[in-house]
Amino acid sequence: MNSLQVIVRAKEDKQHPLSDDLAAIVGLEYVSDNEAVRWSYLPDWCIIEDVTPVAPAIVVRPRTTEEVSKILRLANRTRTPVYTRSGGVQPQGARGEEMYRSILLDMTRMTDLVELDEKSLTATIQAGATWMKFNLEVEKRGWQLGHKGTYGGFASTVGGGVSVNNNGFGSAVYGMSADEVTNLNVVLPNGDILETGSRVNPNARRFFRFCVGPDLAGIFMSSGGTLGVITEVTMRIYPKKKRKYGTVGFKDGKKAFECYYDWIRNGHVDDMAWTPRVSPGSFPELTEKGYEGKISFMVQDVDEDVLEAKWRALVKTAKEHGGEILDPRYAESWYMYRSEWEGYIPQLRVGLIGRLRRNEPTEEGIHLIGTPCCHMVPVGDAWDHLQKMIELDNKYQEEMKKYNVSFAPGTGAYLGMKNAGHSPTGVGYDQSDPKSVEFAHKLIQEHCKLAVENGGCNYNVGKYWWPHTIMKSPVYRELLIKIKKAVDPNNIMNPGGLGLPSD
Amino acid sequence: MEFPELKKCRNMVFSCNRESYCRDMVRIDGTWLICPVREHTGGFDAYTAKGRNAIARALLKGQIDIDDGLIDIVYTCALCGNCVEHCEMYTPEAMARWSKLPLFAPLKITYEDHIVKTPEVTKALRADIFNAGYKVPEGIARVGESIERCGNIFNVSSSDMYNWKPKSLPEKAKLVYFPGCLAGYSFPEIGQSTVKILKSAGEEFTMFDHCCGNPLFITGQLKLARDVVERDVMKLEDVGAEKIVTTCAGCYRCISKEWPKIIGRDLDFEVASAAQLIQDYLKEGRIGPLSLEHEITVTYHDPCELGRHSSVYEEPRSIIKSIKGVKMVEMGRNMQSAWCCGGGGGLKICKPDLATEIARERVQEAEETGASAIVSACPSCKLNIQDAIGVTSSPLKMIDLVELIADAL
Repeated sequence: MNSLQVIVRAKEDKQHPLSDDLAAIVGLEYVSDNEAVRWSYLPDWCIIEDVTPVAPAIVVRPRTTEEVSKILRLANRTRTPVYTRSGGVQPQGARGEEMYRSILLDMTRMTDLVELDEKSLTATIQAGATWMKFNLEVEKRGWQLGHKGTYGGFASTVGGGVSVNNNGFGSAVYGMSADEVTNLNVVLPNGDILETGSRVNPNARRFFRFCVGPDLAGIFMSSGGTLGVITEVTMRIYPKKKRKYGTVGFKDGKKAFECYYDWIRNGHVDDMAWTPRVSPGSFPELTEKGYEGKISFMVQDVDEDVLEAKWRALVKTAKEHGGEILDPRYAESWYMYRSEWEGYIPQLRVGLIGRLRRNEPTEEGIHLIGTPCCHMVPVGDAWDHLQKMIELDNKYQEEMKKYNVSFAPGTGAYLGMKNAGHSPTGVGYDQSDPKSVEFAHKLIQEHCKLAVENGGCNYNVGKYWWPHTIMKSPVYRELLIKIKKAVDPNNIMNPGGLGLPSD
Repeated sequence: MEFPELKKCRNMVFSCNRESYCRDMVRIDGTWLICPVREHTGGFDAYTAKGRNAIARALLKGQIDIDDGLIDIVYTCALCGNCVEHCEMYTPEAMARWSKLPLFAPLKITYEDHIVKTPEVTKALRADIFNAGYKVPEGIARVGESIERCGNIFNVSSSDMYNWKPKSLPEKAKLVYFPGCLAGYSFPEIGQSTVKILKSAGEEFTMFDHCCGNPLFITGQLKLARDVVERDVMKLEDVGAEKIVTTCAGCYRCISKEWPKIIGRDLDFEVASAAQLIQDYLKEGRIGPLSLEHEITVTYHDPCELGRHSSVYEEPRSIIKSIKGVKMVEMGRNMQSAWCCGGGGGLKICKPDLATEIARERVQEAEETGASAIVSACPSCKLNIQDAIGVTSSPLKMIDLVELIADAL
């Protein structure tokens, strides 16, 4: 589409010193230092934005890797911090401390499918494309992704996902998004363009990650934009598979988690989610029948017989743990509501869940939901870990009611991720009320602390975790600092991100 | 600065869950873009519902000030409501389906309960900006002055406006045709066609030649809008109106949704769009059967104010499909997901080039259906799409629903 030159700039005396240079790179209409535009980029999907609201100094919307390269050269030369913003739905607060003087790179103009290579069984997409677009582009060509994108919402982007290490649909088999990545294109802080993995050989296709030397792609994934800008992502593709959905009800939660463990261990289930009776994902009539909760699951395969065999194996295991097979429509509704698999069905989403979950509504009933402290635990520890989290939840019931905060570690969906269990948290609060924000902020901090003390581990990089992880591991942190200094000597990429020094 | 109107929208502003589905989210039609303004400008978040709500929150919290750039953003919106339709995927269809599910049924969830109506936020902000005396885009105040002086947006006398008006209309009638400004002046063919249909149905009716106030509501000129509505309601009651029929989607929405709020009670008369009235005529056998001499393939463009804002989707389609000789084909993006032409929300006044640019995309989409004409039910859409057809030299014709019906009588 053509874009009109609707230009929104700051008044002359307030113009950003780099605005003309940036406009020369991307075009005048794709640069703005206007205050309202800058503030429109403030809200990620994270409470941090309510605790410490800081807008960037200028916003730029590049279209190509080459434009990103030129922008970083300029930023590096002028020692200007750069914050990479993708889908704008980061739930755990990855931004560092220098936002107020940063160039914000809005990556959402970079959405092209670069290549779908049937010989290498990979697809490459520009980093600003949403997961849903990536899925659509691949599926309309007769293929599918293994890891299909974030649970948090398909408005998040592929580049943003791998930068902060998302899990998501298909994680039970395919792991995190990073597990399915074969190659990256990354613009380094000095503007150089790095192609990782097999593309070190210019004659090679994008198909192989662990070659040549150390896994450089791995350094940039989960780096929270501190080391460079990921501009293209290559992931494995698979033939489109037949799918079957199921629901198993359990009257004993502990036994449900034993089934959960066995399913993960045996590797037959492609996606699954435990929803206890208190979860918005549960159904009143199941509770009335005495079910403690249910596991909704999905299994897929290209071959009908294999699909049926996997299905039978899962059902057998479930029954051994006291599970009862329920109407599969419960699972279908779950996957519809999680927006997944069949793809295009409008459904209720996590925001609604937040509103449903709210305690006594405030006068205005305002509520916002976030997932700032979802984390992983070893799959065999999942049940015991959950009980600890629920204890914390119970401890603060009165205050939660007082401040209109909902905090539900036990009521979200316990998802499966290879050898790990995904410990969920939905935190709802009134974003118009500073006291509600403050209390939710405190609860999140406590939750993250307890999660780590109890052997849990964050996956999505965010500042709630830094005090308990990176900051407490001097050897790890020192090495990160050295890598950061080597790659980004002027510390222009998201300074302060990952808990690293901001100066 | 105080924001009295914006404060009324505080609930919505702070209910935005900031998840970016108003930017791009795959929709039921398989496409993923939501905001026509965002896609035809620099595309900053400020043009999305999420960004607009962020700006509104920052204003309410006193974190930012109003400046020319902010005003430009606020007035660069077609108020099309596509962001509302896709807000966290709370489509009315999804709500209807999900509200029946065992989990949600006891909660009595409604679409209205959960939706963040960002166009309402934008209109409120426009009102506060206008009332505070800030410099607004050229054309906004001119429209207000014209309505105040002449009762229409064209600054011309009523006799010049409605020179196609039948001479023999009674002063009082139960049915009142409300053509609005555009059909009154720019598109007399819409008015003439409507008159032909009403006469064909054997109606005794009169006409009302004054602006409904919609241009004032959508551009933030609320004080004048209230004056207009109070005057219009009084005059219509004098006329003895029991039913009003409009051929303008904007008039229809404004009269049915805004007027009762202003006068603080239900209207004494019923309001119908021409499409609804014509469908009744067809059912009652008062007109029809409809047929055209030469076969034609048409596609229907849903006006935002009739579709998304008023939920009138089926009637125009049903009528078009009933005409012998007319083949109806849908554009990929239709009904709740229809792509706005850019002609509404005051955008045509504030940013006419942008409005036309947005309509070009709609024209291209219509061409892809193989239709030879776009039918719509709103003169604002007709104006804007016609401009885009001119710019693109498209072979498509742009006709209003009532013109098609009048030809098929």
